[in-house]
Amino acid sequence: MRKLHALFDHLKKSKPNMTMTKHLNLPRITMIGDIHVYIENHRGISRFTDQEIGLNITNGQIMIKGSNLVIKMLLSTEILIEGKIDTLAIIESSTKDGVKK
Amino acid sequence: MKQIQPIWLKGIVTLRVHGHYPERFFDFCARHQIPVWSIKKQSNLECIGDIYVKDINRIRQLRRKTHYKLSFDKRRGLPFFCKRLKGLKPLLISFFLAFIFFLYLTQCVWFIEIDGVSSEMKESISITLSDYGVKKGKVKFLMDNPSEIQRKLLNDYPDLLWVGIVPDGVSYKLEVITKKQPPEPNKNRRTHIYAKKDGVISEMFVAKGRSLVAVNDFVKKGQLLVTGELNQIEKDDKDETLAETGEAEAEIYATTWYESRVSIPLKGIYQTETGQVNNKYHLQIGSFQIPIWGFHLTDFEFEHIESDYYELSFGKWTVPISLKRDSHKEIIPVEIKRSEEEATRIGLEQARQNLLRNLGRETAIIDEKILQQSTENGKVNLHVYFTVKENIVNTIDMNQGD
Repeated sequence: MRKLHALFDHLKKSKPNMTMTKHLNLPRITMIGDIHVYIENHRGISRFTDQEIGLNITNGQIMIKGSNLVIKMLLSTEILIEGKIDTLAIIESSTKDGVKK
Repeated sequence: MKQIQPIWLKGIVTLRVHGHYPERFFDFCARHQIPVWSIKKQSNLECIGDIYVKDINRIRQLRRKTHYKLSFDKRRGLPFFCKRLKGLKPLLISFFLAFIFFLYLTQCVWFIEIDGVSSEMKESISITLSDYGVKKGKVKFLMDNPSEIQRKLLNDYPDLLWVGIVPDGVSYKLEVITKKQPPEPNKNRRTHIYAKKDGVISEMFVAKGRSLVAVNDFVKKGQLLVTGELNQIEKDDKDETLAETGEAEAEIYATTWYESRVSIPLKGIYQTETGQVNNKYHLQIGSFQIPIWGFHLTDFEFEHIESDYYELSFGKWTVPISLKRDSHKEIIPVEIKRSEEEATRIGLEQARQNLLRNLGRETAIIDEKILQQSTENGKVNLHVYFTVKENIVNTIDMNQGD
């Protein structure tokens, strides 16, 4: 856990990416093998079972499928998911203007 | 991975949420800055997750805005542990008391065994011991250490040769050896007194026997001085067996001469303690030391360290944790420079002391003379000549001259 935190801290501190994500409000997804997914900049959980997790992001959803999924940590914009992860899909949805990005 | 310790101290509650889309409640919590972790979906309507105890009130407030039902499952952590302990107070207190009692029983002296002396002596020694504070039911820590007791006992009983104290668990074993008065039949039965050294006799006290020498006689080593044969019998006399022999007892003082060489350095360096002491305490576990007290004290420039150990032992087993006290005593090197006269004076004194130590208490120095005095390599070399008055009666029985 500590190592992970250190890794995430390190990632957060890397500056060029920081500006990008800040500006665009894009989620940052960090995966460690298929056992951990760390997502920053999400906008809440839409659905959660031990097979599937749906997360809202700025313009769409992230769908994580796997088995024995557990949310190891949940903060307002960060989430750490643990379990056996099979797929991670980003589904873009139309924005409010109805323009697909 | 598990970093349980700090979390455990805060107290954790497993929260069970019941309702449609229970995961949204956790999301709701996260949005209100309440940390949630280990979220698991149990069924479609149920979800569990861990939260801190301190957040419970806030979560209750949040719940009012929603339609979920909450229940608290597991309680873990220090706050709950303490609460549970409160219920077990009598048990804990009794455990503690039992432990204290156990410590007392094991750290006390219950048996004092004295070996090697008569029962009368035993009684008197045990009374003396109880005066020192060594009694049945006394805690070992509060008593003097064995070597101190040994020293005291030997001081108080001059006829004891040796006292060995072995603290063995709850018993104190004293092994006492009394001095055997040296049998002195030799002295009494001595029939002849011979000279121990060359010298000129200055005083004679003949208590028993017939003296063969007079004051101012020069005697040689091994010369017969006093004899117990009262009648002057010729050696070649037939009736040698009939010769009347008695005891000879005398004190004969003679003037003897000694030469002594001493050399005294003009410069001397010695160390004195200034009386400044820093005590540092360590907890010693095996060979590992944890400083607990006094570690902030700075070391002296010159110091000498004395270490004392305080240990706890149960029977043969010594607790591997001991308290170590380091006394850092400040010392300062003192350099002294002597003048030649001073060095001479010290050298003479030293020579005198040496001589008296070798010859015994009855000796008196009559005269002393410096034969030679030289200074070289920062040293004063003295060659001293002493005239001494001493008892030349040979205390060792000699088989000579018979």
